[in-house]
Amino acid sequence: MIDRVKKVGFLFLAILLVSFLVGAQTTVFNLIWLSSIDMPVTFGVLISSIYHDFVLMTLTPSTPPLPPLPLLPTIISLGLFIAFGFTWIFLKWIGIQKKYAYGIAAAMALVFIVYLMPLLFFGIDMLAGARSPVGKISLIICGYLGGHFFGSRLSKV
Amino acid sequence: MKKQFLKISLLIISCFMCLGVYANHHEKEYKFETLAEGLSFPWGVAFLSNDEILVTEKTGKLRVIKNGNLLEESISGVPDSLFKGQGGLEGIVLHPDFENNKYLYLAFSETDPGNSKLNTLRVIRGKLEGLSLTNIETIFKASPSRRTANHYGAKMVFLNDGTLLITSGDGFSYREMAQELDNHFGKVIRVNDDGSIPEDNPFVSTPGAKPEIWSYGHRNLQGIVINSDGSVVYEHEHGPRGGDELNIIEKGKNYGWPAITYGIDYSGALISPFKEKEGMEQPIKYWVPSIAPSGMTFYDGDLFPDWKGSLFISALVPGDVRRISLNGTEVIDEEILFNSLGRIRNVVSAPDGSLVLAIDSRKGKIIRVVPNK
Repeated sequence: MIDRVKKVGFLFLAILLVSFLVGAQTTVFNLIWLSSIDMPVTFGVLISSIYHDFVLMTLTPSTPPLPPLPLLPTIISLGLFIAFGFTWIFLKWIGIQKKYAYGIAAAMALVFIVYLMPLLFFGIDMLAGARSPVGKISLIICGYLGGHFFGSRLSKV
Repeated sequence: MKKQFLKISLLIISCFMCLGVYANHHEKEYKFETLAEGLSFPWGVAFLSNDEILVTEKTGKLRVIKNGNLLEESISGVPDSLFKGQGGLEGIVLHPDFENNKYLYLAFSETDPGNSKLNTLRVIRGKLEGLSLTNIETIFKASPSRRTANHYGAKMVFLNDGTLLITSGDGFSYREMAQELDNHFGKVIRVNDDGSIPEDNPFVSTPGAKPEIWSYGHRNLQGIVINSDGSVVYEHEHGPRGGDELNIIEKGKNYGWPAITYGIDYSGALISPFKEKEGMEQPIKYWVPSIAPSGMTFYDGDLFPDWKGSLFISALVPGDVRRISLNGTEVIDEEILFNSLGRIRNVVSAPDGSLVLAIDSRKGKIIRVVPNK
């Protein structure tokens, strides 16, 4: 029972971690561009912007007409649930360390999120950080890190 | 305790009565007359005369309302437009000398002929002869093309010097390009009536810059008008989540998007932590939360003397018209009007001084606002 609670807790933390990283990636990409046009981006601006984006993207519920849920963690949760579900099944037959298996699964979830979302929104990347190839790759890496964290914690339960 | 309850109740009732009197006063000022129904997403409106109105439907047709009747037949010869996302047949304006030359200008999104995955904003002019548009010429085509079907701008106004201003939106996913001069994203464009480039445009001699650019740093500009003597150009643009702006457009100026903004991204992320910077213009008014400003007119008519000299801005969300009172170019008041009609796509002053509204819907309407006499 305690192990199960721990697993759910790690899943929750993995979702939070990926949401935070995705938010921070958007912040950093925005600030890099702002800096490139000589806007006064300081370390303080960086920290306050990352905090702002974490609160508004990860902790704040959406406004109508969207359902009153934090949109980014909800989308990431859906992606991770599906990806981790398949991984759990595959791991019964395939001998691969959990941290790599769940890392790759979460990366795949982010691949779907960054490539499928524009198809739903007339070609628009709702995550500003996903508009460039480098941005897409970095978001996929964010996914990998969340999955890797989850897999490595599971190994210790 | 009872007395206190009674006092509070009386206070509340008085407040409601005052509101009722206020609302009735305003209801008595004007009334609505439906000119046409069943239009497919009406967008742009232009007056051939007070009783002959041209309306663009976003789905691609140019319709005529004559003496209060929507003609079955639409104008032929209108180029095909791309009806997708926020794109379609949109802006319309008549040449200042339309009486003599019959030139009509249309702005619309169209698929890039060289790559069907791309599209762009195009402005054409043609001669209106009866119910046909002939002699079509391209006046402007935004470059480069985009993948997204969003943020076209597509509004136009003629200046007193005979040049044409065209709004060209940032394409949503290309917002940073609004700060560069080598493209048409997020710009106000100025061309001569035949599409040639005026020699006094601000960036004609800037290496690498598009010579059509008049101002830059804009988002999705869906309203552009001049005041009665043509000395001031007002423009409004959609912000993202918050940050809709009303600006005064001047030659060569940078309006800041997306380096400075009062809005945030739809995802909740900051677009920029900055709201002002030297060398970037401030709006004369901004809205947080957004009202989704969709059209604008400068009222100079006589039917509503109290409204003379005001800007009227139609808003898609929650669906109303904002009357902006001005003292010179300073905004002194904002009044919310016509908030029972749904999403209002455009507001235009008619030659007789009435206001005409385009109601945005698959079964859209054109409504005239006249004094309630």
